[in-house]
Amino acid sequence: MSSDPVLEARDVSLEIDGAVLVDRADLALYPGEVLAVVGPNGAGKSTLLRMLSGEIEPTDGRVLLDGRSLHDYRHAELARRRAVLPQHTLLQFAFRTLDVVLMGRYPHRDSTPEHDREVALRVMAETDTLHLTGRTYTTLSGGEQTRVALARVLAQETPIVMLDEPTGSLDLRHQEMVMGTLHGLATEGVAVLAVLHDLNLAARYADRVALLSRGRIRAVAPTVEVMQAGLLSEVYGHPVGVMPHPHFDCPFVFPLPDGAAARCTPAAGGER
Amino acid sequence: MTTAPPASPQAATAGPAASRRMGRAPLVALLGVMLLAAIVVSLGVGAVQISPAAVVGIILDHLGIDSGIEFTARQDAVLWSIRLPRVMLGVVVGAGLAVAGAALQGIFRNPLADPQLIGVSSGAALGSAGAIALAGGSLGLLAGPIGGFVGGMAAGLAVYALARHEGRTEVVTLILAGIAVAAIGGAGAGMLSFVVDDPAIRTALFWSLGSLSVATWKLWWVTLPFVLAGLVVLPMFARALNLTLLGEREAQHLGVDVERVRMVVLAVAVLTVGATVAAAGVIGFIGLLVPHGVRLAAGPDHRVVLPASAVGGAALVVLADLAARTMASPIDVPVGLLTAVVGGPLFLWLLRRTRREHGGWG
Amino acid sequence: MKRLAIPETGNLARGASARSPRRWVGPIAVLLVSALIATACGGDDAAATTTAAPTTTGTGGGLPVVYTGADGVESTITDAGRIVTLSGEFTEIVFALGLGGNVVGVDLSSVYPEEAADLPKVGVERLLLAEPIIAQNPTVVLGDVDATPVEVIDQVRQTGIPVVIFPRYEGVDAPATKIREVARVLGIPETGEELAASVQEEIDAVVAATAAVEERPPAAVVYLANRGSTILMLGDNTVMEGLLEAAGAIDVAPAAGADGMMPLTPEALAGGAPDYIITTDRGIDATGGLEGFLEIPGVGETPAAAAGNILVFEDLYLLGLGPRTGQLLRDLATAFHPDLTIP
Repeated sequence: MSSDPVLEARDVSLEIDGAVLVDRADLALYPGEVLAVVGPNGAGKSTLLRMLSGEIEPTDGRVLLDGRSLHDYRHAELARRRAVLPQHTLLQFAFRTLDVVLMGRYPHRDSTPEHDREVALRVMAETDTLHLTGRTYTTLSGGEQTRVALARVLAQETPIVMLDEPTGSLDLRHQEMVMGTLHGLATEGVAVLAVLHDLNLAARYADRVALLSRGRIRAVAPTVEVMQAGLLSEVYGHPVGVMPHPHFDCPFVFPLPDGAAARCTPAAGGER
Repeated sequence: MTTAPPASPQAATAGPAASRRMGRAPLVALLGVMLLAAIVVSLGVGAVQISPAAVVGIILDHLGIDSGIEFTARQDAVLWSIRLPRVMLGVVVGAGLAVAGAALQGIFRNPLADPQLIGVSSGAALGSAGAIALAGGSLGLLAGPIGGFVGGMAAGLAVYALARHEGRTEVVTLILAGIAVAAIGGAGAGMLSFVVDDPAIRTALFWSLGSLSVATWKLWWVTLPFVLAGLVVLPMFARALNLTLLGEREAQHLGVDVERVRMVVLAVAVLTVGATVAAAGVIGFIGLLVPHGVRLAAGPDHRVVLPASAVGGAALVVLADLAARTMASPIDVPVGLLTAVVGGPLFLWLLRRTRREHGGWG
Repeated sequence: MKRLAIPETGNLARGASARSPRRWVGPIAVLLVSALIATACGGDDAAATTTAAPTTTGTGGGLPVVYTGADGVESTITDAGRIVTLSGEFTEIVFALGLGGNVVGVDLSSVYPEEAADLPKVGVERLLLAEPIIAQNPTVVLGDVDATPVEVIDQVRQTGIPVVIFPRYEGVDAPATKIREVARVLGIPETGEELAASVQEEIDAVVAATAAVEERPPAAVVYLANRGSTILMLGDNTVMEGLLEAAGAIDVAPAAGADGMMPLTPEALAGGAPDYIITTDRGIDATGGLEGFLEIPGVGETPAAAAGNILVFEDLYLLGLGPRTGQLLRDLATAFHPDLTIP
């Protein structure tokens, strides 16, 4: 990891109608890493991401991209520096899938149509959507649409990629595939920031984790340091256990019984 | 890497399957042929009898070519000073209305955004009539299109402002605001024609239902630059408009300055519509049905929709006007009446058909 | 050059008007004209004309004529052999001047005399098309300032056909003036003078007879072009100007503040309290008969309605200001003053 952050939030807050959605967040994103943003619902993860991407202006604090305030960038410039995959894709117009992916090439004005097509097909292969090129976007399943949207984001070929719940509607295989792709991007030097709600995906693929609770960043640190049972239990308001993953050299997170009824009863020897 | 297109039960209801769509070149070529045919037929039909050979002969003669075909001076005058300007005005008006309609649908992210439905046409009518009343003497024929632009922009901005809520354009508000603005504009234009005793202001009927009967070469030359502006500039925004359909937020992320694109496209579209309204009154449904038809055949990509709509719109207006000036001869049926009578039910049918699809109503 | 100078006959136009379904004309005309302020006249056949008209055929000896119309355009008329009229009043006058045989095309409002109704129709006064007019191959076209769009008039002129646009004439002198002007354009000024003088005589007779009358009843002219169009009261600056006075009545419209055609308001009508209401049979038809007419707000409450004094005339007869106006004034005066003798 290089020492200068490509993206930085300094003391960033967002207040709307008296409600504080994000409270003095400090966050830095470095090239070549996957930074996962996790936390319970309503913690402000999406809001934070939207401020980092430039979609919302913070009511306090600054966001810097390559040392310059986000505010100072023109849209077109910004589009060449960072790509964003929002949580919900709203496209309701019957575009061809390939055309949707090609839209990601728009910021690259100097590129040729042939090169654009090359890039589009490559990222579609990476997201297992190559067989969908001729299809109409609106006829795809939720998971397929998410992967196509991801392909579009990848086609943008930016040094920073920000994703809001990229694995939301994906099945197991595709979840792994996407996270693998993101990790691959990081090894190539891309700075990846992903809001995730699956702690184990974060555990296995993220280099660092930012844990949010009620708009405040409780911790930003290498994964292992954040994946602590006590901290997680407190933040999520539910007992959580952490143990070494049986197959990987990563933490494995799991919820603990809380007295509520469930099909499986605690095994003998289980600890709180 | 398999590329076989899988059959999907949803594909049939969501517009043409991507593989079945017409490409830009074939579609524009097809529509172009239709336009040419419409022009040729229209030039040959009218109360004064001019044979097809004579039509060709007269045109060649004006181009300096002696064809050896015989025709009378009267046929020459009728074709060259009456029929041809009328047909050419139809081409320009149709192309302008259709391309502007397609562009408006892009920036409002809504296939219902027709210049008439959202009140822009009626605003342009009021602006035009007002400008002719106030400045017709000094500006001459230019007063119409300029006034049309001012009136149309006022209407467009009013409707836009009303329909925007929390970053999204509400369909219902858009249409309702459009109805109200259209009513005000139409009534205003009508009242001006009623009150001001100047034939240049035209009649209330002209403004509300349109007519190409006042076509002269002079009027055509005045209208042409405004429509050309639309035909040249609007397609330059085709990719940006595509991205806007992706979502305003997504478009912004991809580098599109959505607000700026919106304002520029709106202004250029209104400039075009304003000029057509000044020349021929309010002709509805062209800006709505032609882009819709093109999308049904070729998908929503503006790089296809904009040029194809222009050609299709031109053909449609030429044909509609042919019907308008011959179906009840010697009465000049307002061409807008015809487009409404045919377009209205057609639009309802399209509404019903596309309601089953979830696509297209962003 | 391959151009021939022989004008062709208007076959297509005749064919077109025969082919085009008559049924379109009605509904479309109703729809269109109801949006206009129509002074176009039309209606059923009515009382016969009594003014004797000298008959002359062919082109008059007074041609060629150079005439500047109300639109400032100078036209040169060399031949009155094929006349097209764009308004019923001119049709009537041309026939009265004896040149009815030369009329080859009329507008839709030309239904008097009867022969005119069978002539090819070239348009509606305010919704003209150039080609149907040109297709009749006219040598002169007569219209007034309501013949619009003006671009169409230009288009006709561009093919070498002179189009004479007359101003709107108003007042009791209008019929004679119109007749003289039309006759001048057609190259028969002497005939025109004869007819004009005889028409003026008739009018003057009525005016003289009513001049001495002291009790002048209030009267109102209520005009309605079609079902759904605005109901108007006609006063000064309309074709009715001075006519009611000439017939020995008082027009209530000017007193109600109307300058020209005024949309009928119950207050205006009630305030004027006319003893007579004059209207056209087209207006009666449009309201669905006399009962319907009396239901127009304000009309039923007038003394005229109470006494049953609703005078109905054919449109062109009442509003045409032409050869039959003398007869009209006589009819009105007799209605207003039954005891009056008019020489």
